Amino acid sequence: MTAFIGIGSRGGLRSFGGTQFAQVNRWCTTWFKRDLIHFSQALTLRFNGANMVLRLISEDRLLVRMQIFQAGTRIASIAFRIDPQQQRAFLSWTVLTPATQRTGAFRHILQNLLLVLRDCGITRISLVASLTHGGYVWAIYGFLPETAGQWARLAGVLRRKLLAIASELKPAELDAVQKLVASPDRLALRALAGSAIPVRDTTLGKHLLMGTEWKGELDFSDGPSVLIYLKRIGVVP
Amino acid sequence: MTKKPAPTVTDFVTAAYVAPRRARTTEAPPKPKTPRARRSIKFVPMEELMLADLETTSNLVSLPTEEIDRIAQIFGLSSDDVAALYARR
Repeated sequence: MTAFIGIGSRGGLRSFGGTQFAQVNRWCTTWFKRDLIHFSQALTLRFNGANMVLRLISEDRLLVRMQIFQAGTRIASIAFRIDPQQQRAFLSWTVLTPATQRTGAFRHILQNLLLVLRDCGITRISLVASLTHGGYVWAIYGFLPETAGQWARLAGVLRRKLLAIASELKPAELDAVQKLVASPDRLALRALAGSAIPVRDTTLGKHLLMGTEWKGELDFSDGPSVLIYLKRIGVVP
Repeated sequence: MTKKPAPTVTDFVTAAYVAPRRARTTEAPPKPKTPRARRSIKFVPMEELMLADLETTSNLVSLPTEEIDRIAQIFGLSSDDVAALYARR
């Protein structure tokens, strides 16, 4: 019950098929305003090729899984959902080969994804910031906790971590950080993530947020958050 | 005693097309099929590469000045608080 499509170099169609091909093509025409080939080409811009599996799930949501190739070698896999009715996308996971480090490949993936989401009328991207680095990295990339409740839960974790290093901070620093952790405003996460106070061979923001897990979102109507994200992914210099 | 005749061109050509003689008389048993070794590609989460990128381009780690100003305004942080939190050392 899926559609699949293979895109070769220069965006050429290599293969296609699947029982849902017609439905997925219709979804693309409705929400992306162009057909499935154009949708796939936009997602694979700046890459040599990709194999994509697409599936329509309930309420017109599209699930996309994609393998990305560069010079004949698989370099990345990504999975995400697009829910145009809710104007929302969910980034499930993305993995890349270590060889893609310093090639900017992850930026190209996020840029291509942004192009598609924009044209599908998506206004927010959500994800679960987790694993070892996710809790810190996504905060630095402009994502904020989805709800005040999410922030309150995370703040509890941060308070406990802060307690363990309180003696290493100067009174003024500790005072400012405690003020942020106690705040009900989820923007406090960004304030903490960017903190440059040196703690245990790293920064305070990184020390507190590494290893945490929270549900995050990037709201396209939140100008400062979007600007940070666009700068990080290399769209804005 | 007769002299062994020298090989002719036909003999050479024929020899080239004849299958080599095998010592065994029965067909060798088929080799058991071994699963084809899968090419193992190691992948890492994108977050790991994003972090490596942040650390190599250290100027990107801190927040933009305008965002620091906005945060300070929202949370009522004094300029001393801001200096304590975000000053580069």
